[in-house]
Amino acid sequence: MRGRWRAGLWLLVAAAGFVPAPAARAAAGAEPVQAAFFADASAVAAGQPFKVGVLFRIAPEWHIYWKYPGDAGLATEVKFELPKGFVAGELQWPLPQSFIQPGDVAGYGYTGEVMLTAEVTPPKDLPVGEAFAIRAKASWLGCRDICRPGRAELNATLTVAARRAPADEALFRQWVPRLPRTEEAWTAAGYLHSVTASAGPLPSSAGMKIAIEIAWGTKPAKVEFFPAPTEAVLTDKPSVSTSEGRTAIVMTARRSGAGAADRLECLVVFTLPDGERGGFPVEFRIPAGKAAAPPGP
Amino acid sequence: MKTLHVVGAAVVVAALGIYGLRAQAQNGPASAPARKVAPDFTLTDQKGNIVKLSDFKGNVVVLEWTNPDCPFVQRHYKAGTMAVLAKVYAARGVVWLAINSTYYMDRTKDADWAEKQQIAYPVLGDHDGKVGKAYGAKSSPHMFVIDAQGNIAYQGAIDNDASGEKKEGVVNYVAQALNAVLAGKPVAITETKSYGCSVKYPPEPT
Repeated sequence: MRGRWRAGLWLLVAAAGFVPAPAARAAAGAEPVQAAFFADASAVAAGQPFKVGVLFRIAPEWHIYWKYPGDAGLATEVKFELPKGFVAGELQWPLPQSFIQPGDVAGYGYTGEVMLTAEVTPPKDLPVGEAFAIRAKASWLGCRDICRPGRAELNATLTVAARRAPADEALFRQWVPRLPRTEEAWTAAGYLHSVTASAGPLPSSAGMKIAIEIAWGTKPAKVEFFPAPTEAVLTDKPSVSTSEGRTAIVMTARRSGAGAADRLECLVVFTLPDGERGGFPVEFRIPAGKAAAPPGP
Repeated sequence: MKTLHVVGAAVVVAALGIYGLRAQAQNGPASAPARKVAPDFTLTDQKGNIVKLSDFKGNVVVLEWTNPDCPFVQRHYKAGTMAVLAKVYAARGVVWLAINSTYYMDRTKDADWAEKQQIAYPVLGDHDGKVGKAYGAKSSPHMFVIDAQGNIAYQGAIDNDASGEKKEGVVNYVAQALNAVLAGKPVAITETKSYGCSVKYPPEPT
């Protein structure tokens, strides 16, 4: 990784001169979290999608947060600023880890390294030979005993060619297996037999009880559940019990009154005995009223 | 504590007025969801004064979970968020109490920080985390608004601007809740997810 990391820094420094190289090296020693920008192509072809990503390198003992940070913390943010006509897809978040901190404070995030990527589709009419700039604005909260917020504005210049010129493809490939896949994909691969999700009102309050029953095709060693509510929804600590190749997840959720979104996205993550991890999303609707809502599509 | 008692006496009068309003407003059957009673506590502030929550019954009380080491807390203190709110609502009889549950700090640290920030309200030391856990305080800042009857009227974030970068549309949930409680009206948003650093509770033996 080291060589690749340097190459990434070099790309950003050489391409845009945003951070002079000596300053970047000096910061490397002091900051617990560093961010570098990568693209999987040095030259792109009109209309052909390519990938961009921000690789975070996190010092030992430190962590940064997932798109939902848990009980405390702050979600990591990456925003790509693209030239006119370029369209970025949704940011892809690798499977998070959970840290249970003293006092039962749940945290969801990453240690070591993580790369947040997005697919970019350039317009169909791009003049060959032209150069264009992409900027990534990243911000994060690094925490150990203490927390330290960080931010970076990273730039890269790519060119337009008749044919795409690949770069750092191995790095991007490395992060693909760590992304969530659909329930259907895991079922087709034999990891899953069935997933049943339901949601119903709680008799005593305005909250909802959501339940997920999973029958595994391959028995996992560990199953974790990560809710990713928006500010409109509040979730309580989920209960996850796994035995005999089946997992039952129960959680209560309710509307906070802030914000209007009623979707509750959740992620089921399993770890196989050999350490391989996989995950799939499950979505619910949490209506404002007391009526029950079936799980989303 | 003396000053606090003086403030407290002034508030009882104001609170009685609010009771009256409340009784008129809630004429029908109890349709509002049952509120959670705020757990009582006795803690020592940065000056060594003993502070008991139940001493303030009849007052609206704000609890602010704090940690001088946390950048979110530092940002709000730099911006004067807590000091301004505490001052504005003190004029309307609201008691503001900061609670520091950081396990590796002590009263000396609380006093240093209060002095440095010129904090006018008590900074209570809960360095064994017992009160924090009783309230389920997860982060610094984590805010609780307790109504005059001792029920939790609001809990969660100070505002809707976790990263502190919103240029417009910032909603201060604590101010909203206080305005409603003081006017004897139902609080529209009673709970949000707090943001900030995790409360640094003592490491647990594993």
